[in-house]
Amino acid sequence: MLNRLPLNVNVPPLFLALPPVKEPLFLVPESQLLPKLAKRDEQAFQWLYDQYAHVLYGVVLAIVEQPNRAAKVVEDVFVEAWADFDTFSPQQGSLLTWLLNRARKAAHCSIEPRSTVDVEKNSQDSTEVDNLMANEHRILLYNMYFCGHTAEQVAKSVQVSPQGLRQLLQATLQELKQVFSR
Amino acid sequence: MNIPEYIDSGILESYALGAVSDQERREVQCLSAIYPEVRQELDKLTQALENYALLHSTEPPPDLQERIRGRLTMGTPAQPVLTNTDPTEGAKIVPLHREVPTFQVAWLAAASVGFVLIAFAYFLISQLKNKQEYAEDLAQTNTRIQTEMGLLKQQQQRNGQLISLLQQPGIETVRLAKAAATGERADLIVYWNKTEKQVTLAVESLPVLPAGKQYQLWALVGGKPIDAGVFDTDRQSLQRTARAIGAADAFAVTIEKVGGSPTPTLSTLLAMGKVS
Repeated sequence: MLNRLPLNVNVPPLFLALPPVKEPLFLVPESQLLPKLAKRDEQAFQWLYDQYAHVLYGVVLAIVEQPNRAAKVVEDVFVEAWADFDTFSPQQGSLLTWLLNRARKAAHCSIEPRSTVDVEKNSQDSTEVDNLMANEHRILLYNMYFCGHTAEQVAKSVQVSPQGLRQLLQATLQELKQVFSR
Repeated sequence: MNIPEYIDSGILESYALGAVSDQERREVQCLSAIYPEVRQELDKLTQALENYALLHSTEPPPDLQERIRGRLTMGTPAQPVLTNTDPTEGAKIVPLHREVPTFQVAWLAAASVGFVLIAFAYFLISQLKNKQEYAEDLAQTNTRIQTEMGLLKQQQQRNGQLISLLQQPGIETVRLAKAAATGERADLIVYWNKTEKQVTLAVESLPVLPAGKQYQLWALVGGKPIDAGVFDTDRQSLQRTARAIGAADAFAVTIEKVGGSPTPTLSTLLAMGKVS
C-alpha cells in the first residue's frame, strides 16, 4: 500500500510553490473571486474549478481511494458549494479551507467508516513531508486528515490521553507550519 | 483571558484538524473574531494544512468539469439546495444594489441639487427686488403723509387759535378782499378786539412781495390812517400786530418798505374793509 495514491508531486498548474511563502498562492486571489462567486458568474466557476479541482480531487481520492467515487464526490461538492456559497463567511477562514472541509466531510460520508486505525499502513506520504517531518507526526497527521478518525479513535490507537493527543497534534501542526515556512 | 497561553494550549491545532467538541469550536470561532493574534495563528495553521492538502493534488478526470458545469445554474444566485440553510445568512452576501451605476445617480443628484439652488437663488433675488421697490414706495408715501400731517397740524393749530379768538367777547371781524389788476387775489380777515385794543390777522391769500417790501395794516379813524403794524404773507398762523388800536372805522392794507412807514402810500392800497 505504499504507493496506493497516485500522488501528483508535480506542482499543479495554478499553484505556485514558492518556498518562503506560507500562504498558498493562486492566480486569482479570493478577493477577486468572491464577488464573482456571489453573482454565480460563469467566469467564477472557471476560476474556482481551475484553482481548486486538483486539490479537492486529490484529497478526496486519498480518502475514498476509488477514482470514480472520488470524481462523484468532488462533483457533488462543487454543486453543493455553488448553491451554498452564501453561507461562506470570509471571517471564518479561507475559501480553500471551507471547500476542503466540505470535501473531506463528503468523502468520509461516502465510505464505510474505518473502525480501526492502522498506524503502520500509511508509511509514505508525499516526498516533501516525508523528508521534513518526524515519522510519528506525519502518520498521525495522515490519519487525522485523510482517514476520518475521531480524536478518541486516534488517541486510543496511539495510547495517549485526550490531553496527550492534543499536545501531539499541536507538535505535529507546528512542525507542519515550519515545513511550509522554509 | 491570557491569549498567548490560549494560543499555546494546542486547542487551535485541534480545531484546525476538526478534533474539538462543539463547545470548543464555538469558543475558538468567538475568540478568533475578537483577538487578531488568535486569528493570525489560526490562519497560519490552516494555511499549513492547505499546503499539505495541495501536496496531494491530483489531476481529476477530464470530463469532471463538464459534468459539474451541467449541474450548475449560472448568472443568478442559485437557490440553496439545502432547505435548512439559514435564510438571513444567505441574504447577507447577495449584493442587489451592486448593479446600479452609483456614480450616475450621484451626478444626477448633484445636478438636481445645483439646479434647485440656482432656481431658489433666482427666486430670492426677484423677491428682493420686489421688496425694495415696495419699500421705496412706502418711503415716498410716508414722506407725503408726514408733510400732509404737518400741514394739518399747523392748520389745526390755526383753527384752534381762531376759535379761541372768536370766543372772546366784543370781537369784531373785518374782511379785507379785493382782486388786483394782475389777477392775484388779496384776501385777509382782521379780528379786532375792541375792549383789549388788540388786532389779529388771518391771511387767506396775498400776492408774494419782492424783497425789501412788506405789507402794512392801517386803521382808519375819522378818515385818518393809524399805523396798525406790519405783517407778512404767512397763511398758516394767525398774526398779532404790535400796535394797540382803540378805535377804527375801517382797516386797510398797503405795501410799504420793510419795517413800515409812518404814512400809508395810497398808490399801493391793496384792500380795505369797513368795521360794521
